Amino acid sequence: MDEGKNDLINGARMRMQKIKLTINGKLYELILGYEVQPWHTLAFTLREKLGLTGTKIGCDRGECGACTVLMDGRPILSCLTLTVECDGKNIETIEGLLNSKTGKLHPIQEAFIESGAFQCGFCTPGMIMSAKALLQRNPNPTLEEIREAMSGNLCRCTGYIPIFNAIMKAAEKMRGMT
Amino acid sequence: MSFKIIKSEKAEQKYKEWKVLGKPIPCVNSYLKVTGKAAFTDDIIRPNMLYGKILRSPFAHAKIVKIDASEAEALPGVSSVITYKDVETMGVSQKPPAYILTDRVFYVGDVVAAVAAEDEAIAEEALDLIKVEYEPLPFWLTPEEASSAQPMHPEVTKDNIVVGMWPPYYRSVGDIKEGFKGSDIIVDVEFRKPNIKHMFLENFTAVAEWRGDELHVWSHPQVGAVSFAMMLASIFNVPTNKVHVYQCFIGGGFGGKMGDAPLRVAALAAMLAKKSGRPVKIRTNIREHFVEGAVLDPGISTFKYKIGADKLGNLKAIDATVWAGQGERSINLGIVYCGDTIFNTYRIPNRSFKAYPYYTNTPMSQALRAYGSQAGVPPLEEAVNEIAEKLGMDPVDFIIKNGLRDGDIVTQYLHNDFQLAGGSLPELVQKAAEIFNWKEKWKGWSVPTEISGSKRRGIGLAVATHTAWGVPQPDRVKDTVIIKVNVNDGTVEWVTDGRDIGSGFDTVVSQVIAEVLGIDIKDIIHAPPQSVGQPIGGWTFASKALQSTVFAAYNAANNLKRNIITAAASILNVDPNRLVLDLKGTRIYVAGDPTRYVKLSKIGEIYGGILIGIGSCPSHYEGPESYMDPVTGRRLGMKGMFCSFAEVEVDIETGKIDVIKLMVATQPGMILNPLMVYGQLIGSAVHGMGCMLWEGIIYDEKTGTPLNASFIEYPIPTALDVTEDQFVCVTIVDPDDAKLTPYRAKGIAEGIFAAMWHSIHMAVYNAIGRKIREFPLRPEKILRALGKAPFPQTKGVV
Repeated sequence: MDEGKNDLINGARMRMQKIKLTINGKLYELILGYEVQPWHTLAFTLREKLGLTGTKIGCDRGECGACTVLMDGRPILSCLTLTVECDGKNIETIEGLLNSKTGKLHPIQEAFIESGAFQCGFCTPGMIMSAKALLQRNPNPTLEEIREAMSGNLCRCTGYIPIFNAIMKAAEKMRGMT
Repeated sequence: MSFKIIKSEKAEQKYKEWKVLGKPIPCVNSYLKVTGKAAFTDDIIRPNMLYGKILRSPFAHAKIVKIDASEAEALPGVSSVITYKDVETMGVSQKPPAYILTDRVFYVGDVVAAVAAEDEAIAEEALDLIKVEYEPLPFWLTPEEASSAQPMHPEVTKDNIVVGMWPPYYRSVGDIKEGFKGSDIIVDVEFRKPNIKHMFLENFTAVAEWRGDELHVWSHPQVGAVSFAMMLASIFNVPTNKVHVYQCFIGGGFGGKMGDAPLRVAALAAMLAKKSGRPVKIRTNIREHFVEGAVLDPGISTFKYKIGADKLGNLKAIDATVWAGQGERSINLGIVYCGDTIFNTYRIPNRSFKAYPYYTNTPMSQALRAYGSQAGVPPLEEAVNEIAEKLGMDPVDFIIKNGLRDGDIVTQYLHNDFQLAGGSLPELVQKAAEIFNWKEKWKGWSVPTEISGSKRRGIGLAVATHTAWGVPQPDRVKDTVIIKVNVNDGTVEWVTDGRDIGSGFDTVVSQVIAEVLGIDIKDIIHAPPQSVGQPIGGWTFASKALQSTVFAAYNAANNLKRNIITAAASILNVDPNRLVLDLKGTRIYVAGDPTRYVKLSKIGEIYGGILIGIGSCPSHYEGPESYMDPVTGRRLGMKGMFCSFAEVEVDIETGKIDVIKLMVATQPGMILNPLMVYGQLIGSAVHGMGCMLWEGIIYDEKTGTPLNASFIEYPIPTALDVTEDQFVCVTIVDPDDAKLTPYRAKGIAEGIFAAMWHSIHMAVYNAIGRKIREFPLRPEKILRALGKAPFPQTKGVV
């Protein structure tokens, strides 16, 4: 009888499907049907299940860009991405930007502060992640390239120009570091 | 950076005296905001929390005949469902303007029921299971339709005129009949305005939790936490000190988070939490923001202005009337502020203003960056332009002749009139016109400045004034700030119940305290705002924080400093004027002799172990004698002065408008933080450009449903729509322009928004020579005005 029960549990464990995500360098294994449901978006999982509330949900339908995170280095809208789609992927969120050794702000974060590139701050994590993706693939962007890269991130407070200035400044800081 | 600061000699002198003020200090909450650690309401996750969803009406006006929630309640994972039937059993009061749930719905998206469940997906599924039988009623969207419709609230009004916080408004000064008799030119202008949305990114959200009879609410109201707690206390019939409101960071507001919508969402969460016995979070979505949230005051409106002037271009009389569709639950403030705009922009000796706010089946109207001004300015400017054009006068000259200036009498709706102390539109426009190079560019009325193929360029300008003392409600709002000094290390905390909405309120108040107390801004924090134990002082709207909260903080810091110095002087037995407060060094020492000092902890002991300073802001009517003009004996007051110059290029083949240059200018008094001022100016300019060119809710005439309820269908400016060389922000800095505040500064962001709309409008007229007396100026309207549109007027109310 005990053997039968063990078999049942072992069988269940084996059948248990896990979603493996690397988030900001840390591996998370989430059990499908328990910690993750097939309909959960990445934004929901990050915020409500893992407590990574730095990623914001604005429109929740892929229009405003507030939920932008990086998947394998590319900016994605976490409100339109199902968590199950992210199995095996490398996710970066705003929480991962601080230097893990020194605790210092990332140069993009510093530049956003110095340039007054946010007011209410709700779009800011998404803005910074889009800027990071841009500067990773193009360390020396023109203003046109910045405008294009940031066109999926809406901001109602700043009028964008301080954000463009911040990204230019961040690019300069990052080039100086390498 | 396209930010010009033109300082007077007096201003230069003041900047030299200041150590912390006047510096471009980044926002004090910066670290939290760039790291994602700033807690917005949706970031609050309570143990055992449920998720709420709201069922909304598909009808613009209907009675709920039958509602059956039994199937929804039976769905696994659903904890509770509330409908209007729960209101009575839960003792929830339904006093206007705070309807929570009734058996009637007044606009598409009005609340019908709400569900709390284990997750949002289950809650949404449950909404589909609520069976509602509606009896549709006639509905109307515009003030014109409202005036002839059957009464919406027959128990209070027979003619659909809103019975709200403020009564219908009629005011006149002088004698308009005589004024028109003495006019050589009289023009009539009719103007229309659609419903415009705030479109902030954070939708209405609330978390509510009951701990016994204590209600705990996390929310993002623009009113302070104390005021929000008072409103919730009255809804739930509980003592105010049992309502704990924690004011989270606010993800954009612009006036749209002032009252009803955040309150209703919080009240629904609290009702669900009560019925479920568990915490509940409601996070609404973008479509709900669109249907539930407020629209730009005063709603869908029609403006009819008649204005007269003599041959020399002196304005003689204005007779202005506004009809506005205010929604079902408006507080009417915007429409009366349209009147303030009409009365206080130009010197017109004979003036009459009538306002008719109507109940309509649309969401309520509310301030958007500036109460009433941005709605009142375009029609006023349109009327004034027509006069100037008929006289063949350059608009700059016309404003220089007629604009409001220092010493003029300001006529207010809600309060006594006052004499303007500082600021002058003629002076501002003259200086700004030089920077814009107006005289060289101006070719005359309805004459393009440049023609190239199908492109026509034109220039325009507009002026505005706006309140510079907040919403004047001296009986209700008296801002107070409390400052506490920690005697062990000299660090400082300041307390008031409001949250910085992004305009720099926290930063500037901290700068003022740092300046008075002689400390580094890094040693000051704003205590997290909440209702219990904190004073009222943080309503972040109506351009008031820079005057009244800063004023309160200034008084609090000075009171604190005086108390410390007085105690130290008695211990050291020296003249208080000889003492230096050194908070960082936790001591007070004699100037020139630092060895003679007393420790801060010693002063703390004298005051019972704690060092506290309290300060309030005087209202216009309680101010010191210096608020009286010594010559005229009149009470003094301030107004913000604004102007905007625009250059546009219109493609007459496509109807597309490109803003080539937009220059906004103001007289802010002293600039306390240039980084914040630039941010407010540029942010307002881009926001306003979107409103004038593209924005506006389109309603389906047959159902009253908003058709463009998303960021895709309701386009707001994106990064692709702006470049730095498009915008110039100019500030003419002189302390005499803001004489009544301790640091000679006044709020600037709202009035700029009001002025810039019409500068684009006038520039388009000069480019294409056609008057379009409405906005937004979408391409189809341009083509229609040019007689080039083969297609008829768009269906629906725009």
